[in-house]
This record gives sequence, C-alpha cells and structure tokens, in this order.
Amino acid sequence: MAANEHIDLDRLSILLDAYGADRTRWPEAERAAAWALIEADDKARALYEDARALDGLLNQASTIEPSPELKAEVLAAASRPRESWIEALWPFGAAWKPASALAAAVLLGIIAGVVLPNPLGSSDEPIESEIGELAMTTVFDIENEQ
Amino acid sequence: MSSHTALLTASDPVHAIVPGMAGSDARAADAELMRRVAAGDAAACRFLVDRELPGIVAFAYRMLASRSDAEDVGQECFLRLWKTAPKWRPDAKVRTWLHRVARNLCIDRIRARKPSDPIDGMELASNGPGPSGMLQQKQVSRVIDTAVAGLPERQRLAVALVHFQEFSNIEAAKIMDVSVEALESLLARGRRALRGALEDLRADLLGEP
Repeated sequence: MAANEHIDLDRLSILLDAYGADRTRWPEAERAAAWALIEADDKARALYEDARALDGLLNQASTIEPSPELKAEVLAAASRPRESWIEALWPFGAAWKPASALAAAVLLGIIAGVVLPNPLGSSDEPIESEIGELAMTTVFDIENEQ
Repeated sequence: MSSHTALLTASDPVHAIVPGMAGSDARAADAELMRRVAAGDAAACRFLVDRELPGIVAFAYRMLASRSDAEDVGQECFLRLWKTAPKWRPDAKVRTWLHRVARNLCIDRIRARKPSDPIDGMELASNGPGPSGMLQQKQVSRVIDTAVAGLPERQRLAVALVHFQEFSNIEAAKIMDVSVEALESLLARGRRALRGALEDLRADLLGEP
C-alpha cells in the first residue's frame, strides 16, 4: 500500500479516535504522515494527547488469567482420542441418533419376521417351483401368440 | 497421549514462534504445530495452550465480563482446535482462528442472556468510590470494565480486538467479517463512547473539578 504523504486534522482525528495514540496500531500507509502532522501542529498534538489519556485509562482495565483447572482440562482434552470410528462413519454430529434408528429398524424387522404371517401363504410347495412354473407359462404364452 | 509424544527442545522451531513474526512464517510455524497436535504431541499442545489460552480467556472476559463464561469459551475454543487439528489449513493462523471461534461463542452467549442475568463486571462496578472518595486501583479497573461492557456488541468486539488483543486493523476486520473501513468506524464510535463514559473518572484521576 502506498504511503500517504499528507493527512489533515479531520483524518488524524478519525485515526486517533479509532486506533488511539499507539502508532503501531495506525494503518501503515498513514503512519508517517500522521506523526508528521502531530509534530508540526498544536491542535494535532492536543488530539494526540487526548487519545493518549484514553489509552492510559483503558490500559487500567482488569484482566484475568486462566485458572490452573481450566488449563489442566484443556490439556486433558487434547490427549483424548479425537475421532472414534463412529464419528468417522457419521461425521454429522451425535452418532447415537442414526445408531438408534438402525437398531430400531433391525429390531422391527426381527419382530415382523417372527410375529407376522408368511406373506407367501402356507403352501408346502417350494417357492422355486412356483416361480419356475410362472416363468414357463409366460414363455409358452408368448410363443403361442407369435 | 500417543507414542508420538516428544519433548520440544530449545532448538525446536516451535520455540522460534514469537509475536510479530511475519505472516507467512507464523502460518508455516502454526501449520507445523497443528501437524504435531494432530499426531498427539503433548509438548506441542502445551505450547499452544501456554501461548493462546490466556489471550482467548482475556478476550472472552472483555466481551462477557464474567470469569466463568470466559473460561467456558476458552475451553470450547480449544476443544474445537484439537478436533480441527487433522484438517488444519496451512494458510490459517491459530491465534486468528481461535479469536474467530471465540467471537462467535461470545456473541451466542451475549444474545442468549436475559436482561436480568447478572454480569460480573456490572456487579463489580456498582461498588463505586470508597468512603475516602478516592478511587482505588481496583475500583478504577471496575469502572473501566463496566464502561467497556456497556458498549454495543460490535463496538465492544472492535475495541477488544484492536485495543486489548492488539490485532492489526486488517486482522481484526477479518475476525469480525467486516471491511477495514467498517472496523474503523466501529472503533471510533466505541472509543468516543468510552471517552464520554470515563470522563468523570478521568477528571477524578487527574484531580480536575
């Protein structure tokens, strides 16, 4: 980005309002020009001092350090296996939902097989022969039609 | 931890990662770190926790004004980091990635809060000056915390990222998913609001009437 050679008081005011008085936070392209204006102009200097005072206050905000317990928990989580084979097969969230659905379907199938009557009837004749007869009939019919 | 665990030595490139490292170098170093994390390297995990957890918790605290919420966010960020390690993109920076995740988690928590929910920072600030009329350092900090916590969500986020977390304007804009111009506007409005909110405090500290 090309450096701006000149900036005016309005732009300096916006820069200081946004980034404060720490020059390292100013956009690089405007840094030199902004500082040159502060050194050369009393109004610019006053704006800069005002921003510096606010920075000084904000720097007194409290901060917290992570507790040793949190650090231990985070490190313990790092050593746990990251992806089980279930997650590898089902990477869309909780695996218990599709697993439960599959188990329910299997169970329903078994119950249906045991409880419901045979849909093919109670004939003792082998099913294969019925199918064979049907196939032969169909072939015979087609040949006759020709 | 798996057999991949290895102690990092002083000559290890991981130790060469310092704040201010050029972007591409920092990304390459982070990619190497994340490769080790994915391989179960305990020393790499510890290095990342030491380097990034304090910053993430401090950021979440600035956003949420609650230690317990901030620690929850810090923990969730790292759980997601560990999970992402095998799929880490080499063009990403861990610090930026973590702050993006933390931003989303903080916003979710802020939006889920009811107006009646107590916030640590607010409780602290209600103490006000002591009987002597002089503000003690702790009280000064509390007043400032409350002023920051009182900013609208996006202004608070901008101020937290640039002033407190010391991100560049470009990085902060990326984390917030806004343009640099929009970030600048949010920062300017946020800092002006803070100046107004802290005017009395400033006068008090300077001994002005």
